[in-house]
Amino acid sequence: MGDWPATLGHGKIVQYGISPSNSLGTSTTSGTANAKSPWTQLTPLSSISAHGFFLQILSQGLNDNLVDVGIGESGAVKVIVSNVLYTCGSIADQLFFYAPVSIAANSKVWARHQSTGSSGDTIYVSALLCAHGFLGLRPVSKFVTFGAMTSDSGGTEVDPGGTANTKGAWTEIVASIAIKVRMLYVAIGNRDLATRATMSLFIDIGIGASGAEKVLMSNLYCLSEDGGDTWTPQMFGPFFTQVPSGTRLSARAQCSSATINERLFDVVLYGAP
Amino acid sequence: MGDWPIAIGTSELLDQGLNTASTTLTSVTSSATPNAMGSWTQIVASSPIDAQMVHVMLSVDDSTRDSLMDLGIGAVGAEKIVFPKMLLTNSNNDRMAWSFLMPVPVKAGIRIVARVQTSSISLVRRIGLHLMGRSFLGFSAMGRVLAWGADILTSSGTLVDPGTVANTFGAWSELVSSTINKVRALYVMVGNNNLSVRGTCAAHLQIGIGAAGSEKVLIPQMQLRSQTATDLWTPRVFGPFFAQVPAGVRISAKAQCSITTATERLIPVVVYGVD
Repeated sequence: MGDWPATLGHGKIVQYGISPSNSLGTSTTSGTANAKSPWTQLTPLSSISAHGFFLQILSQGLNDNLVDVGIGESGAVKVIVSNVLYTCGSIADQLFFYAPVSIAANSKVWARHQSTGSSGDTIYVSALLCAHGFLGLRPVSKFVTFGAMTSDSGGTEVDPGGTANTKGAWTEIVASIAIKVRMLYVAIGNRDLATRATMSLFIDIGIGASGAEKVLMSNLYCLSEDGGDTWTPQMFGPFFTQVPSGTRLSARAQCSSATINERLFDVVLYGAP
Repeated sequence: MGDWPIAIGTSELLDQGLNTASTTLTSVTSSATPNAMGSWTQIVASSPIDAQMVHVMLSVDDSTRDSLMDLGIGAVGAEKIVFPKMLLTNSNNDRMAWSFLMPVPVKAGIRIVARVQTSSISLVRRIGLHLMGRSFLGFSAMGRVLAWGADILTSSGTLVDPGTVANTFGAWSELVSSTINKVRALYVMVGNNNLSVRGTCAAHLQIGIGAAGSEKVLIPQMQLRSQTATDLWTPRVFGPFFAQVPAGVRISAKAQCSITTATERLIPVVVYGVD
């Protein structure tokens, strides 16, 4: 595989933020609960011009986390992916997803996070940067986040309702998106719950005005196990679906259990313009 | 969102193979013989749309065993595999769900099926799909998916050993000596080696190409994690990596791990190439 495949595809794939001494990623440590940590640099300078990257996040703590990725010089870091929801119950189901966001060569790449945990909560972040093919995939400049709740480091709470295996009401994620998006991801949060029984979810993402929602993505499947107490998976996508600006986005779900609290989950949506 | 976006994108997303009465996916049961493929189970009788790609949802919610699942298409008795030997894994009898995007088209009217083998008998694995409709221009459709490193004798993958020195890469393990055709995308799936006890540890996994002794890293460090609560390597699938690999290439894997405990440090690996 050369550095410049003639057609669509990655050229080089280069890792950043890897810590060989402990087989982890770069640690970022929060200060105050629900406040962003300082930026931590993943790489001194990116050696390739990347059209996208795979983001890898893991931790060990029972917390909701919102993770930012940025580029730029120290003191002038610009966010290119904001508030990626990463959540743990009794286990950490590690997050791995592809962000088709371009990063120019010789950029400094940074990460930071906020957590519901108290001071000193640590997560580990690394990235696999993917170079262009000759024609390349069309990258985007940044992601837009819908439904993240920085006040509790989570997302918008969705309630499947009190009847098992029956769809609950729609919950608004965003009243009106400011830009047209052509790609969506759906992140699922655990709401800091340390105990969650064995149960499953079907989640719908909808568009349209309140009372006139239409299903855009139907029945995304999540599971929780009483051993792990965490909804899995934590991220769906990418879905190459085009949504015009001005559209209202919402979510609803059914759950196999009607147990209050445990049936609840958080949703954050990420759109690529 | 119209039915026919002009540019690249999907026109519609249709879920298939779901059991809404119980909020589960289609159950696929392994055969009564260990490590032998079970019968085909129908997920969709007739695909309602021309799908340019498929979002695959998987879950394992019973006994701890690695499993290999085939996804296929075709009429009864004439099924053809489109995604072979997907490596499914869990531990401690814990329920896990995950999903990934498969850039392989499925035409309208096609029957979609799955079958599974496990190292124990009659175990249930589950699968559901989202069919993604075509845009006017569409994606460049891909074709077959090939599995490299699947071990049908154990219903698992090729064991990659990080070795006895913590946080130091072990030797390369060959997954396939020579690929039979060029591929344009790769997935990596990770199993658990039927282990129900695995300590808290971290690992970095690499995929390489090249002859033995002169391997070059194709996919650098993918982060793996296990915790005592679940005893399971996570995540279970990486990709798609849109990496082009010519025919005739040897593919291998190596890893480093933060612990050296025998068996617990081992990582079953299968790589999938999409042509």
